[in-house]
Amino acid sequence: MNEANVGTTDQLIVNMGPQHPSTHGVLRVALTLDGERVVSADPDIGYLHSSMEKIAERLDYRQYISYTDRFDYLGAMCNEWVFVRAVERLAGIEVTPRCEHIRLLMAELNRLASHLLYFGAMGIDTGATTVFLYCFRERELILDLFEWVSGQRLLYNFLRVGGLRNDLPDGWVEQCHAAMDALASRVDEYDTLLSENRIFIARTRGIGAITAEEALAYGFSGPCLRGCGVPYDLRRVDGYSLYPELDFEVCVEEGGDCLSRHMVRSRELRESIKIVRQVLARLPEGEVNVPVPRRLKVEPGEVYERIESPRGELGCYLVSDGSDKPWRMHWRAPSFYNLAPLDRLCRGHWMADMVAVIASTDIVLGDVDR
Amino acid sequence: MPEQEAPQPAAPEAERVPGIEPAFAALAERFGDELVAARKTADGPDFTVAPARLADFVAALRESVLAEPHLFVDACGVERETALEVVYRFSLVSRREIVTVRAHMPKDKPAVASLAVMYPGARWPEREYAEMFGITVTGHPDMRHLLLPEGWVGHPLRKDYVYPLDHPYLAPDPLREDPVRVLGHAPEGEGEES
Amino acid sequence: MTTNTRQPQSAWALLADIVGGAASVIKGHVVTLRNWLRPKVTGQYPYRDPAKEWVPKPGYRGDFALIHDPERPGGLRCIACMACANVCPDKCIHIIGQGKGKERHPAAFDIDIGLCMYCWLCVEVCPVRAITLTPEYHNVAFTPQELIRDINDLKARGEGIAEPLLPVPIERSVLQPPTAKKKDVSEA
Ligand code: SF4
Ligand code: SF4
Repeated sequence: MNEANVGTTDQLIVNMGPQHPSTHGVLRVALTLDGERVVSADPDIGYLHSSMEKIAERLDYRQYISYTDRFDYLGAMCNEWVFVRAVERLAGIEVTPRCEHIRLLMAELNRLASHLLYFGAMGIDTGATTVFLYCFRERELILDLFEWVSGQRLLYNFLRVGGLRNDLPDGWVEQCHAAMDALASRVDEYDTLLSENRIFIARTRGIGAITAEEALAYGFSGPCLRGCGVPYDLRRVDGYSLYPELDFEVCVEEGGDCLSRHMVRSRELRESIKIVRQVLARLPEGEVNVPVPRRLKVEPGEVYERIESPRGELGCYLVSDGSDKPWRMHWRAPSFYNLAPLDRLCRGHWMADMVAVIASTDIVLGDVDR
Repeated sequence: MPEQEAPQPAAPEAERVPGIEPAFAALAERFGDELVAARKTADGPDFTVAPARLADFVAALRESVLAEPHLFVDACGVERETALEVVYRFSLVSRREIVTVRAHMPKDKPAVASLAVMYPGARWPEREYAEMFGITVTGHPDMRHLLLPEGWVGHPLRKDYVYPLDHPYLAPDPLREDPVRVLGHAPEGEGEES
Repeated sequence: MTTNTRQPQSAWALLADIVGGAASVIKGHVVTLRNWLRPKVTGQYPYRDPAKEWVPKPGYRGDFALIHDPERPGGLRCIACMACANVCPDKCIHIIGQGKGKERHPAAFDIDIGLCMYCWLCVEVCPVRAITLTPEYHNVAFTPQELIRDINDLKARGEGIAEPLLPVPIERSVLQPPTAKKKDVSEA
């Protein structure tokens, strides 16, 4: 036996996934382990690849909207929004103020629903089952609102180029207010259960840390990047839609570890509730749809439109050749870039911490694979 | 809503005219013919460079327009009528400014210099467009397939891609045949199918 | 390389850790207790008792129905214009039309709801508002063939539905309101 090997272990390659419950979808990670320590992690993606970009080339703009729901299914309203924004910018369509307000409202409600699911998943992955159930109970309030207005609970197909499928039903605004009140009173409970829990802190502080420079070079965005101390929130940087007129704070945490990413989302829950209440208070009356030809043709050209989705910078690159179908459509999917540094984040940690790292980046595998 | 006249589409933002705007004269001096175009758009600067110099060019940009902290946003491929194009995007953190760097390549032997060493975030998108468009990425540390299965033949996002319908993954489902025929719903004699 | 191995610590720090940890666990249990006293929100599916069945909101996008019009041949409002079959991204609507002009009606109308993604586009493009999605969500079947809705099935499901179901009046949606005279049949 080699002298240097005494008391050490051989490296072992372990497959985590693709059916692992805490990989949030179908992700396979080929882990090289030294004992319980991660030596390297090699994510293997593509199990959910559904050719979203190729499909776009054979469908017209109206048909494709229902497909945009299906890659990042937890942020479906944001996906629809960025797609219709790209088409509208290319075609030079202006939407009505009421429509813009409702779209923003839907995006923020979707952010709430997505962050609530994150809270639950993060809890369950670090061993706190209770908060999962509570978060799903509150997420239900928001899904009920979506179900009422759009007819579906997850894949809404609610936005249209130039407008919305329909206006808000009577009584919806009141129910939304009630849901926000209920949610606001419960958010502190999640923090008591999770963010202030010593066990949770011990499992997340210092785990999966990354510096701001590295995070920027990796293309990290959204709450993950803000958890590294970079105040990069497209709602403020771009100031698109009505966000410049709204009062909210960009949540930034130093540290770059799982706990910072968690705390950013925890604070964003409160900020989103604040935004929803402001928008509800100033919701104008009027039409929601502007006339758009059924078979919309846009001039040749290209556009890169981006918004802040619950997971980060969601970009839509649309190249048109003048027909009624996109010539090329590319998604800048935030989960894709948030998952890529997994190896860098996990190296040297225990294998059990992998689960916390994956949960804290809040990836959706449908979004990674598109 | 009743159908009405279409609103007049605005002029497309990205007029793809070559030429170098005076603001980028220093870069033009340094790269000569290899900087094909440089212009300002509503989103920010937009450069087209020779594919072999892409990495060098972005390194040079890091001393000028990308000197501030910036995010590696995206890399993707596009097939144009006569050429393949790769598009890289960077975004400044402090304000809205998207820096776009493009490179055009012939369709038969496309090759581009990788940014993966400078921006580790470029590793995956470069692997993705390499397999989707058949672009060779030089200087990339790891060129396995990313989304497609190992050994997949062809480049699916090319316009001339033919689906290998005999591939076991893509074989049509016998249960999903035309229901009108399966259930025998077609009426006798007349009637035409959609 | 970062590690998260616990460093040895002083006895006081250890004690503070234990007390603080216990306090955070107790606080958590207080929250759990408070929630224990709140009303139960869980539902069971499927309920045998129809009274406890979950009823979706009006306008929920579930199974299909064809809207009746007793004055037309076939008793359906549909004019077999193929607009819905053409717009469907999944191509899961199969129609065989019969008759010419005003008499045109579908002889066969099959929707493969196993392929359908409930996107509502077929309802949106229909020039006469003849098709709708209903809040029916019990779409369980053992074979794909059972998931094909034929014209009789669709007609039976349309019993008592006057207009496409929406959470708002039709005027406040993208659908053409009933007052619009112009019929867009050019889509086919
Ligand atoms: S809802 Fe959509 S997928 Fe389903 S039949 Fe209608 S158009 Fe096709
Ligand atoms: S669009 Fe309406 S009228 Fe035309 S075939 Fe479909 S259901 Fe019938």
